[in-house]
Amino acid sequence: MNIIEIEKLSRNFKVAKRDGNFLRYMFRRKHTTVEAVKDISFTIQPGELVGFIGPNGAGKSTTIKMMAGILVPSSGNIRVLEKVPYQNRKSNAANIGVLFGQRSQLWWDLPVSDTFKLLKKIYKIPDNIYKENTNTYGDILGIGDFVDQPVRQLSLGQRMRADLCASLLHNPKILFLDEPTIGLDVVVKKQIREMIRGINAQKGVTVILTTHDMKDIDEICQRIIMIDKGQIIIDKPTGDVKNRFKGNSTITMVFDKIPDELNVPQAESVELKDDGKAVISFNSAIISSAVIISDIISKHKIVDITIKEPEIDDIIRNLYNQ
Amino acid sequence: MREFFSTYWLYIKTFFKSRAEYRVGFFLGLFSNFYGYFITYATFWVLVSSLGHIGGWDFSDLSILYGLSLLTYAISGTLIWYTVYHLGGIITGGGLDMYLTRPLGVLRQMIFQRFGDTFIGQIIVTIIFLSMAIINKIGTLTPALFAYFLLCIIGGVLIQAGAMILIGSISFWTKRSAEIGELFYYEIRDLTQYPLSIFPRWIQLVLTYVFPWAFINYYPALIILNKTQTVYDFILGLLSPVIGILFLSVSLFVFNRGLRKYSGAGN
Repeated sequence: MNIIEIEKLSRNFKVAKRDGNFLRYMFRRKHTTVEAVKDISFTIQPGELVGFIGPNGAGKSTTIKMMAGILVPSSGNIRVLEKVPYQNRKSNAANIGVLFGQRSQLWWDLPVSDTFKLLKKIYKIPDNIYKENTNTYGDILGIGDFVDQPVRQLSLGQRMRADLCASLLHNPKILFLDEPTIGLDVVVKKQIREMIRGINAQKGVTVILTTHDMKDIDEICQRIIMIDKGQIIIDKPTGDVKNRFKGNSTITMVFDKIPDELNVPQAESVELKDDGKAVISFNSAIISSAVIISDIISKHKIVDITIKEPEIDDIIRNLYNQ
Repeated sequence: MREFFSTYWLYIKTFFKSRAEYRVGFFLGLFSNFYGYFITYATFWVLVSSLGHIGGWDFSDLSILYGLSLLTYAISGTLIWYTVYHLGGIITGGGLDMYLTRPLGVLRQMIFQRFGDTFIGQIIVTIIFLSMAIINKIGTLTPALFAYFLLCIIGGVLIQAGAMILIGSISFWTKRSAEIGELFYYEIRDLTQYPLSIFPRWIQLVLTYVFPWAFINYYPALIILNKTQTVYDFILGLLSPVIGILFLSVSLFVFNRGLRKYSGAGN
């Protein structure tokens, strides 16, 4: 069974054209229709960890908002837990958890526990489940240390963890995270990623997140959906995307004596530099670095070797540029 | 309904807990509201004591007239002024998206979210002047008059809430509605501080049939103070609660249309 089914989904927005002088903008505005999401289709299985990536304005948030029942599609079909989200907004809302990284749902001047109590009431969470969840998530997310401090005194990382916990209290089957690591430092980012993975592993919650940080994808998601200009460009397991771009692997070698010629079979390019360095680019899916190195070492004397696998950031940059 | 009140109560308790963090601000807000409206009453008193009356209405009459307007405004404000009336800011700040991801009605959540504590000052000052005027002018209320009085307050609250919802809803289309509210709600409604009869005919018609603000206080006050002169006055006075229900229904309809427009079902 698919937990989310999306078929030929589109969403248009009418926007005012900001051209001409301010008087024209003030009084005689022209409108154009922007297709934020164009004819996208995909399905998601229960328990999947899916990462949406794409440049700003690509249509990621619009897609999430349609799945969350906030926005109604202009055309196409959408089913979340076998129901149309915008037709069943309230029942859909009871089954999903949503976190907007840029906006907190916590009560600013009060301890996190007060917001939790309000959410318990809104979502009609039974006492035993509420207790269990505040305990387990409190542990996973390490909220116990600051549960009684007013939210305004929390660090951004603590606030994000508390917000994550708030979105999980009612046992949602699907968790939508819109930029959950935005503005966090490296250590906290890592924590949040581990927590998301932990929640998925322990509770089987399906997680759909958007991010600009490729490490999030690399460390959390099994599947990448890349959106650009409202269309899906790539929808593949994260490993596949990385493999496809392993052509960007490089070995840099420093030779004792610069060889006149360096012949490396199956390498994509070999570049000899005057300072005794050679940069060999190759596709690690075709040939392994070990083969290349042992071949060269048997013929030449080497001083130093550096191997570089492509970072997911580079891969994505490549994709954006294509 | 029980669920609504118990949730609202929890929100109010939570709200006051957070308000307690800024106790000084809370009491100042309360006091400044009390003080501001106290001055308005004092102005009436000065006006009336030098003029004798305004269009045949003495200070007690005016207190009841103004009291009905202010009390219903304050009650409705306590419920929705901070949220629904300022819907534009909530939309641009992303708050509406958050409401839409929760399993409750949007308007309901907006009522919960912000208890209009500052309006308590206005409620207190109004109750003082209103009670004084009633004791002075009417003595004891007969059960029928008391029932009518309550109905008028409910009707007035519905009209004021309707206005706030209607003005807030404009933000669905324009992103901002404060100026429109200032113009058509506050400024025009302020005319109803004075008896409608002192105004030219066309203003009376506008305040009755275009912007029904006269139903909040003027027509009910005519009946309460036994000032009706025509059958027409009397019927309009009795209709006040009905107008409240109608006006609120219209504004709820517009709000829901706006919500549909926001989510994109309207296109």
